[in-house]
Amino acid sequence: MSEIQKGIVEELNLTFGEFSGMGRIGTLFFQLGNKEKARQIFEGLVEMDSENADTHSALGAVYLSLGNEEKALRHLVKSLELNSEQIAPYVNLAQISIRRFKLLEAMNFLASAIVRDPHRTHPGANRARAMIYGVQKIISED
Amino acid sequence: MNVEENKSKTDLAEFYEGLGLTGFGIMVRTGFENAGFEKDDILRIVEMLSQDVSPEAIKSAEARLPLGRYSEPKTPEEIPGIGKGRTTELLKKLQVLNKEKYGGKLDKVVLAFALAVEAFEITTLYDKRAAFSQFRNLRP
Repeated sequence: MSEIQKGIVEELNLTFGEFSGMGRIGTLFFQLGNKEKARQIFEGLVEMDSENADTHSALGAVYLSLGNEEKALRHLVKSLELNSEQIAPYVNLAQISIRRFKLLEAMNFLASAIVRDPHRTHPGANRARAMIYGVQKIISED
Repeated sequence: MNVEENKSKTDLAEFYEGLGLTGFGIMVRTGFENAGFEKDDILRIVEMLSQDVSPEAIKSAEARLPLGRYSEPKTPEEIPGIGKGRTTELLKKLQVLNKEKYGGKLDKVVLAFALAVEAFEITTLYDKRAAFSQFRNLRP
């Protein structure tokens, strides 16, 4: 965290719960279809704490939904550098790889997501499983 | 192709469109055709991972996916987060800090908190265009 970021958090007396609460509002905007406002909220949160893996993951997902793959990539990769055990960034990276016709790369990302969810409960990992299901059907039909 | 197979292919296309992968079949086929010497690796991974795919997992993914739809609109009372009072307090503090101490470097942070306050101040968090588009899809 930079000195400015530390300063903001101290002067606001902002708790981790409150920071997460802001993230939930950003997520809500996204779920309600307002991706621009979601982007602005998560960009602000990344400004406040550039070492928060969840925020980079969320911002990457928002950029992906907005069609900005380059910015999505930057934040998704950063989120995994900060916390390689997250699942959603791998699934979103797989999506980008599929769009770029890099199928092996996509499979490796999906594998990374699935292996982190042995109990098959994580929605992101199940999305990865759904993508594997689709790839298998398509490849085997040809 | 019989009706069930045709329906199944349509459902699959819609399902992946809901994932944000319009043209999923074309992208996968093209990726596989272009894979060259990597094809065997792809097949090996797909075979290995597909053993982990269960109908329950797919159902779970379907249940969580919006499939192009959006959540129901929220009232201010239903908004998760840190509450209107505290959000407004933080916004005011940030505006002062931004102006008096950080020379505008906190513009993005101020905007984020202003939007969060807005979430509480409008009746619903409805993005009207998205909502209209959603309801239009539901028309027979």
